[in-house]
Amino acid sequence: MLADIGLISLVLGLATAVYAAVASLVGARQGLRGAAWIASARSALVAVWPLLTISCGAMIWMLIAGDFQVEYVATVASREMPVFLKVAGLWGGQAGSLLFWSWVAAAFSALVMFRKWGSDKALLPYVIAISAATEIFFMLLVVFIETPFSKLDFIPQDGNGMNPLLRHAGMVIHPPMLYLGFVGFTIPYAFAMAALISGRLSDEWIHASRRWTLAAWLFLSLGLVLGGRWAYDVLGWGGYWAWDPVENAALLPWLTGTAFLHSVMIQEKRGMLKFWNMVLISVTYGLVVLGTFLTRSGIISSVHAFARSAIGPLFFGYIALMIGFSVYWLLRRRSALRAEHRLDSILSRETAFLINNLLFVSFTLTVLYGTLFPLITELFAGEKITLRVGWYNQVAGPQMAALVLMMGIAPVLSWRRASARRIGRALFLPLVLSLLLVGFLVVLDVRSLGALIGFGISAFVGLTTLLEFWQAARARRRTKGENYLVALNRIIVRNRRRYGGYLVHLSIVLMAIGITGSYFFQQETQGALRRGETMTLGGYTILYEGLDEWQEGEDLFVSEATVAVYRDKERIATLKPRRNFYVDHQQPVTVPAVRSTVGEDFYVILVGWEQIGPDQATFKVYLNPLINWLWAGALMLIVGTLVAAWPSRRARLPFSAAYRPGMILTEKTNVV
Amino acid sequence: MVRVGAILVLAAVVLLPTAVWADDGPSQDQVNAVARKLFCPVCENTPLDVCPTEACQQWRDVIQTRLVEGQSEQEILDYFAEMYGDSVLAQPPPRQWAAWALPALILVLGAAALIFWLRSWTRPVPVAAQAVAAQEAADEQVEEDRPHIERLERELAEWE
Repeated sequence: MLADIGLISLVLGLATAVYAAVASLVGARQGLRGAAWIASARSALVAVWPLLTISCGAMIWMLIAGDFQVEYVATVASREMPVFLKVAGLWGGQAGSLLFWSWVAAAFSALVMFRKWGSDKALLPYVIAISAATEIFFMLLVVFIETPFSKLDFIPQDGNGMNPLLRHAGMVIHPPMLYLGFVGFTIPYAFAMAALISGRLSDEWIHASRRWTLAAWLFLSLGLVLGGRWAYDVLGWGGYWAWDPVENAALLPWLTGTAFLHSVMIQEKRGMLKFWNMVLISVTYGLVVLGTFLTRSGIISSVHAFARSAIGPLFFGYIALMIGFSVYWLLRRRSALRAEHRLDSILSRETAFLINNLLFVSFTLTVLYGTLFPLITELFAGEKITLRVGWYNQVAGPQMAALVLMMGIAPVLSWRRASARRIGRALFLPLVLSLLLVGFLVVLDVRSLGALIGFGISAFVGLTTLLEFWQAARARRRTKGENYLVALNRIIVRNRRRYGGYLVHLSIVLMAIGITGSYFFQQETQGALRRGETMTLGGYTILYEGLDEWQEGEDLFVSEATVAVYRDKERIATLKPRRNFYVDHQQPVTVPAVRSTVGEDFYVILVGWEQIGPDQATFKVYLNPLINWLWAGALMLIVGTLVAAWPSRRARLPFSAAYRPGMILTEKTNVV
Repeated sequence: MVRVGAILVLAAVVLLPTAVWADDGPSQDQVNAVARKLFCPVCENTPLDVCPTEACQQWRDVIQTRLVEGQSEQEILDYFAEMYGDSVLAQPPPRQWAAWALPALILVLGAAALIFWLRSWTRPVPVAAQAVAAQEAADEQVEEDRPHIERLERELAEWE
């Protein structure tokens, strides 16, 4: 019954989206007389959202109630799972996650419809059409290929339950974040295409979609970090990023999306790179669809997975279609997308942005190539070769370092023509201080070149960015007589976009410090301990106190060790690393126990005990220096993005009210 | 009694070294040092030194055995690569040169593109193109007016 409601509502949603697309195009063709059609299309696109909400609601209800006759419910849920995991079951399997994807897309499009369109009205019909096209594709998949509403001929007693690795709070929020990010990027793409088709190629599509882009970027960033945190907490291998195809799939659109966020600035300020920005957002859209496909199909583990389901060819067909569509309109409008200005000097912010973009694109291509390498080798060499972490670190490390370095240099270059003196003044102090830091680290016996470069660059970029804040605050203090805190607050409020961006830069620096520290200085050791025996790593000593084993429900066997952690002969913590064994899935899950401080994480894994009896257990311990800087950086990234995206009161006033005769519009008067 | 004592001493002399030697075999850290550089083909992207599955435990036992036999790390890695393909190696071997070929190509092409763009964008406009430039200047005037036109439109729209 509920399954039928869900399916019917979904089909209605699909039909409504098709209507929205058709009506919007009809309206656009009729020009001024088409307003009614466009209004109707707009309402239809909004209506898709409640229809899909009913669909998702029905699915969630069935997951909670345990309606195991529905095949999808039986594969991802089981009686014993807690309610929040049952709800998360909506995105725990392929069919459900495609439904969820469609729902998020419908929600985003509906919200976009509610914005005040004003003078952007000319873009509206095409934004409707493009958003509807995305929704239609995913809903077609859900209705015809991978429907989560199909029923079994019999009613199973219980479901299989979710993959044990996914039964974690991080897994409950990580996929929605990722999907919000993925889907979010379809909005700026819709605006870009609308601008191309309607021929309104000024910056209005960028202004109109900027907040959506930032929101998408924030969600995608958080999705990436949460995925890393989940790996760190659940997978129990002491790390957070494995260059797994699924991780890469989310990283790829993030890279091009970040490049896009930067390169639109050059268009807004200087009227250059118009063509390139269109390319970047189209590529990001393509990578979003590809990413959804990669995370869901398992194609990377084998090409044969591709042939087994119709979903592979459909995804590739859709990506090809959208690329062809974008290329067609780009070529048609290429003359209107020519740069308005030329480069005045090589030494300018423009050049820095070009280098930034090139780095992001080469990074993207490298990761894409690595991710697809198993497919490429299987097709052309007959043997499937998977590239592992060693290769990725080799090729990605230098590009990441170069990108971070650009963050320190680009902001001090001015637009058009930068003076070498100003650059020298801005960079001299940070350069000297960071070199001093590197020297100090060498004295402290740090010999790893990578670590020295990583910390050196981080310090340099952090200091240049802080100096930007300080100089602006000092100038304000001098002219307005405010104290530093007030001045700092004022400069941020007056130019949220710039200083929000700098806050994000600082957060990336924090993350770079965390990554450098945990990558180059991770220590580990493993050993078997009898009860009462100890093992030492980097100043910490663990003492094995005992092992408890018990059963939870019918499916789960838990073995939990108790170890005392000592530092300088003082007991500082009791840790309980455990191993969960899920009988139904025959899957062991290692749950590490961690003692976290600002400086480092002491991370204990229970490796084994059965072979040697509970009197003796094997532990692996890691010391992960500075890793918490990574997570702290992620929190700061949220703050910075919110500062950059927050509407400023001045900009919200209509132009006539904000503008008074005699007021000079300068670059600083940033109408966001 | 003396004989028993003598046997015990003898046994101790004979057995102790072997016992000590067995304890002195490769430590778990030594096994892990090799295992970290390997991935089994089944477990998705979990390094061998931390993978909790039975199969990976067996691989670690193989490493242990081979270390006892005196094989070097490289010999053991080569053995696994030969048996199961280069995918098991965390660091691809040089014979997979194609893995680096494209990133290198991207680097070269990227640098070339950058130089090309910078040159073409900073080059002064040739005389022959001046007529075109005049046209462009006229276009630019329209472009410059566009924000004002748009503002006007926006305000008009808000009046509606």
